[in-house]
Amino acid sequence: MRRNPFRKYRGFLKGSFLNVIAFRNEIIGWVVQDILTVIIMVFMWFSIFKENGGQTINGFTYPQMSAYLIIASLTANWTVNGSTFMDINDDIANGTIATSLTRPISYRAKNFFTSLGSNIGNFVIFFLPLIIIAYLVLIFGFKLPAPEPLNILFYLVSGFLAIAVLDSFDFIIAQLGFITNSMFGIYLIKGSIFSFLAGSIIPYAYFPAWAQSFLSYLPFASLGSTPVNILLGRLSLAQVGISLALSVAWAIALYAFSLYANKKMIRHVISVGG
Amino acid sequence: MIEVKHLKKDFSRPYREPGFLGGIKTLFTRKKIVTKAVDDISFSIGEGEIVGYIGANGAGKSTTIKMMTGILTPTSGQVLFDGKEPYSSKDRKNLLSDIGVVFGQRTQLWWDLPLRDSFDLYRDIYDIDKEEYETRLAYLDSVLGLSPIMLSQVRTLSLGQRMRADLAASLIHNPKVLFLDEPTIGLDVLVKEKITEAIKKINKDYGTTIMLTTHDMKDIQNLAQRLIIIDEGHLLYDGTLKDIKKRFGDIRHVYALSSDKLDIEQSKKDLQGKVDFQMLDDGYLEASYDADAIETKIVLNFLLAHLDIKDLKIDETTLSSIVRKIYATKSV
Repeated sequence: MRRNPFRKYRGFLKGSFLNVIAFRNEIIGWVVQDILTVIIMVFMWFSIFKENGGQTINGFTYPQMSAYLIIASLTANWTVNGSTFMDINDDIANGTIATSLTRPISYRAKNFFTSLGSNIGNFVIFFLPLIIIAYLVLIFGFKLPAPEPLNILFYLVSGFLAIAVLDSFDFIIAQLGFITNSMFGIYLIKGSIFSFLAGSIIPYAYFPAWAQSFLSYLPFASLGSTPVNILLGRLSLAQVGISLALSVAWAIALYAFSLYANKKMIRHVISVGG
Repeated sequence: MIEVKHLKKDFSRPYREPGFLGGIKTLFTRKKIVTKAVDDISFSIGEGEIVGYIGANGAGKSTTIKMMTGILTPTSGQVLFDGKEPYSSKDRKNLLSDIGVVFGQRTQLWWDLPLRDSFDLYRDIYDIDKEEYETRLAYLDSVLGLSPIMLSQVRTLSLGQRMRADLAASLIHNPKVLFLDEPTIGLDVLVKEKITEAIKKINKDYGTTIMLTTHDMKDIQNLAQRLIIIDEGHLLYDGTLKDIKKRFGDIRHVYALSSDKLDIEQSKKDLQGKVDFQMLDDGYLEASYDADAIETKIVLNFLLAHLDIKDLKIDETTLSSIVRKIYATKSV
């Protein structure tokens, strides 16, 4: 009888989930910083809209723009906070990669499930209460409609696809750790470039037309624009289908590429001597 | 059970000149420096053996262990585990559950969680039955004394506790072979003793084959029947502890402090060249001799007769002194 292959990785998922819970007080600083940033952005856009005469800009009214910014920030809170990048960095810097390789598990899958555990931890502890507060503000303060149940479901699917796509991205970029020590800088730069390209800072609608169609086919769309637009009900059912299909395709393609990178990396471990 | 055949490992890294300009030059040259970390080493280890694998820093010990555990692939040569290669991706999956590894300076435990969670994690990884797991854990607890720390966060453990826990984590799946890379580094004498006792007991109870690298000759003396010494990637010695002691003879060293001067040439002649004399920097005269060739009594009487002795010390050859000699002369 073949045993459940997922069982091997269950512990990593559980362990990093518990880690988030143990470190919630340390993480809360980051969350507060995100909330402050969103509040500043919402006020900034308030003056932009006022300057514009209170009309729509690129298809967004002021309440809609605020909703977009808030949901984008909260989505990033649970989808972007994976641990793969820094875990690999630590593994390389401390040499713990050697012990990881002596266990009968896939290093790639181990990283994915560890990261997923902290994503789920963030989802439960921070995202759920914050999204409820956010929607109370959006519904009663900004007079926006509540999200459709079907869209909530699609949003969750899209969010987990975002995690899968980003995790592979992180895994691939983390290979740079073998040639440079300035990984934290790369981590920060990667974060800002990705959130810009994902449409988490400003919606794609504000980009030039050529960039919009170009970006919507790239994997970055899966990280921000797709889930946020789904939850806000800005996509038709057909569009949702296409976007989710694209996310799935990118998730698979990038995972395959990260497996290849993993193979290459292990060979590199060999030449630096662990 | 384990066979190492003509194992070689070269590391090549780009040639780098010092300084900023040198760093930039590196980007444009393809010059490489090749270091031979392990150079043509062969030995074999039988089931249930405890082998001490020693060598100076940078001798290639860890590199060998990494090849034997499948982390590194040899440049040439072979490691065979019951006929399978640990570094080949095909055999790896099956082999890794027969191997346990402890790298003394690195933990494999989940840093922020209670110790018990790390063990549970390994239970899942190795797919161990619940019943088997509980018996195994109880056994390891009895040998290593884990129950008082089972619920503590790993980060709060002392180095000695952590080492015991790490050892347990590498044994949770009852591996056939256990590799210990400096398992007693940084530990106090008592903890060291406990750990060596535990290793001995596990070897006896389960017939676990153990390969151990260390710089502490006490560990080797307490544990290993067999010794493999390497230096600069070459095999220097492979044999029993007894043999190496015999080979170096039962050398004694007498140190005498005296204000008198001894005529060394004349004294050597008087003692038929069986004793070597050497003035040491700290003012002591060292007389070294093979205790099988000349009696200690004769040497002492000679010294007492010729010198007005203020202080006297006698040392026998220890494994450390033999190893020191081997490292220094690079030959056995």
